[in-house]
Amino acid sequence: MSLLSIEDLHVHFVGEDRLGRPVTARALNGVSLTLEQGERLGLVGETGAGKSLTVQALMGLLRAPARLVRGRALFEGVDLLALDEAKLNRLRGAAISMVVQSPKTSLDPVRRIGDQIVRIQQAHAPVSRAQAWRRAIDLLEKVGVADAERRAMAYPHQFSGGMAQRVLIAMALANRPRLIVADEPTTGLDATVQAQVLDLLTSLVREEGASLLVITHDIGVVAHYCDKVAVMFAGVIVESGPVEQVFGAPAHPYTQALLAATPERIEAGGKAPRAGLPPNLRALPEGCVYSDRCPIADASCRTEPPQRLLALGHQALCHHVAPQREALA
Amino acid sequence: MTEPSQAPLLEVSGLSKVFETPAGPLKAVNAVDFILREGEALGLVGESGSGKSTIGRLVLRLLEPSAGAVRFDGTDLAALPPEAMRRLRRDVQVVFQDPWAALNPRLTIGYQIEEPLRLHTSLSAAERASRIAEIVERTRLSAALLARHPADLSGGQLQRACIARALVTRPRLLVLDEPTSSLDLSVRAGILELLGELKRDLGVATIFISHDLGTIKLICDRVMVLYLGTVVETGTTAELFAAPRHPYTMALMSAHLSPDPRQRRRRILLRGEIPSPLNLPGGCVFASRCPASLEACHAQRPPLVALDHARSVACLRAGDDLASLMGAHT
Ligand SMILES: Nc1ncnc2c1ncn2[C@@H]1O[C@H](COP(=O)(O)OP(=O)(O)OP(=O)(O)O)[C@@H](O)[C@H]1O
Ligand SMILES: Nc1ncnc2c1ncn2[C@@H]1O[C@H](COP(=O)(O)OP(=O)(O)OP(=O)(O)O)[C@@H](O)[C@H]1O
Ligand code: SF4
Ligand code: SF4
Ligand SMILES: [Mg+2]
Ligand SMILES: [Mg+2]
Repeated sequence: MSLLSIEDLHVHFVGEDRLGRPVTARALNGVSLTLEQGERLGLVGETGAGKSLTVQALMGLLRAPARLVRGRALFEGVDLLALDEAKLNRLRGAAISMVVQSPKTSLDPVRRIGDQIVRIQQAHAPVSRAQAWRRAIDLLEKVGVADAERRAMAYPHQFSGGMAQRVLIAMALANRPRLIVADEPTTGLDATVQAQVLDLLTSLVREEGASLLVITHDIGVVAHYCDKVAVMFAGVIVESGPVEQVFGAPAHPYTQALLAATPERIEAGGKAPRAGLPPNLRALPEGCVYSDRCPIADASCRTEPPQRLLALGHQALCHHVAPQREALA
Repeated sequence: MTEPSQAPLLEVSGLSKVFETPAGPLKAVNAVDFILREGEALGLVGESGSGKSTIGRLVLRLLEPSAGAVRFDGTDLAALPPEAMRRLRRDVQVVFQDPWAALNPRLTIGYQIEEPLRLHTSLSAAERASRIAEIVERTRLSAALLARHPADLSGGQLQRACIARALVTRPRLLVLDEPTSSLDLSVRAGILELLGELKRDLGVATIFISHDLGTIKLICDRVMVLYLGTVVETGTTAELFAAPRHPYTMALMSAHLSPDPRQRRRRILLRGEIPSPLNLPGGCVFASRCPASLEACHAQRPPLVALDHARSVACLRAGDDLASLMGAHT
């Protein structure tokens, strides 16, 4: 049994147009992905692809007008999407924890850092304050906060962005989660600080035997910190597999375009791909969601593309998969 | 007016900027010197808050320096009479990070591209129209977009419009402040390709500000590395990337993640915190995080010293074999 298995997840936004007629934006259109224990999975794709929405659905954080249309998200065999609020609350922040993009806004500005780490422990287990405080100090030391005893007494505004991000990681680890979901955990941090935070996050994940689902725009982060990658376009995972295979021989035309767009590839003499417009979620094309932008689309692409297995664990959703061998060579 | 001169196009010396803030004086830029020649592209890199944008704004005269001088084409900008300032607005242009904020949502794209020509030149309507047609073609904006408003364009198209507006007056110096960082990867690629082409064909001198080393490497001839408002290293792009000499530059490059998972990195792990610009250390600005720091580094600020004709480094230990001292991990 996989630790996490998302199956055929569909989420729509239902609203009205200017004339009051109902319109549906199909934001997630059958997302499926699996994550094994101890694995680090990177979820990539252009802005608006549905990456954050996928984890929101998973964590039970969808709010109207978002509507879960169908799908399952099995965590250790239990469907998260069918749990009631109380049961979800027991999992969130404990067995599953989350690190979000903006550390400053996800910390309580008027509460000491140490107290915030105490509260998250006490919310899930009957631990004494003294015991929870000791663990808070331990965790702060673990995430590289020097002089943790004293810094635990500080308030969030006294921390730099990189420091605050480390505090969030400490909080995410507090209840020994089995799954950590990180939505752009280092966006906005400087390269050297980003490296400090990612090293920390992945080594802690490894030590604790937890799994990591990380959302990022940065292809380099996936290349160096993840085992597997899932590529998303218009609410569909169009390609997934081991990082070395997907990046070494991308098979889906969108993955190929995404990788060709890095400065490194352009420098190597590659031609920058045509960008094209973002997909219109209210009027997605029939068949393949990428067909409006795909350079090799033909008539067959107006029907649902098949899931093609390319190698063990490497698959792409396309009528005309053509692995681009040694794409990065 | 544009006859080639021996003097560099831009000459910046002792440039400093101190912002008065409620928490006290903030030293954003500290005694920066550099020159830029006709047609050359200089990259500014460094952590967030290292003073890159402030330098750009000082050069553009959008901010007054606290000390130091900016000379454009041999003339000190501080001494420019109003008429010459108007010429400068034509000769020096800027593209900012956020194309949505840079354009007026109520005016058409075409109007906004024409605006600098109306303000800073005395071209006739027909001449303006032909300039616009030319730049629209160069930046690969379709003429049909000119009648539209910003809301009806994609991010990439908007940034192309901003570039077109900056180039329409045929400037001699272009400041690009993170022109691609708000754009999606696939859109970014097209803009980078365009910038490379413009540099080749038009020979505009460029100051290119970016966090992204990959982008800098692609566009720039020379690089200047900043840390807390101080230049720690400068050199040609090729040499600096091949063999960084300042410990911070080494760490910055080792932190860059190439998109190729097979490319092994020699990583330098930094510890420690970045000091506040409100309270700069007396010694080397990088000392609190430098794996090679010595006692002496905390006592005095190392000056920027030329190692050869192209490379300068501000480090007390520039003469030592730092690469092996830095504790690079694989
Ligand atoms: N209220 C809404 N009505 C209609 N569509 C919506 C609404 N809220 C969000 N969406 C759409 O849902 C899609 C999924 O957004 P999501 O935040 O998951 O993107 P993302 O992949 O995380 O992008 P980013 O990289 O920019 O964070 C987007 O295309 C967005 O426009
Ligand atoms: N108008 C201002 N008033 C006060 N402080 C300012 C002002 N503008 C910038 N600063 C400060 O000056 C320093 C340099 O800022 P600057 O914007 O030049 O950095 P940067 O290198 O461009 O950073 P980034 O990569 O985040 O854009 C920062 O500490 C910043 O907070
Ligand atoms: S199915 Fe057709 S349109 Fe879709 S990605 Fe494959 S080739 Fe392109
Ligand atoms: S002067 Fe000292 S602290 Fe500064 S970079 Fe050089 S070795 Fe490091
Ligand atoms: Mg998102
Ligand atoms: Mg800036």
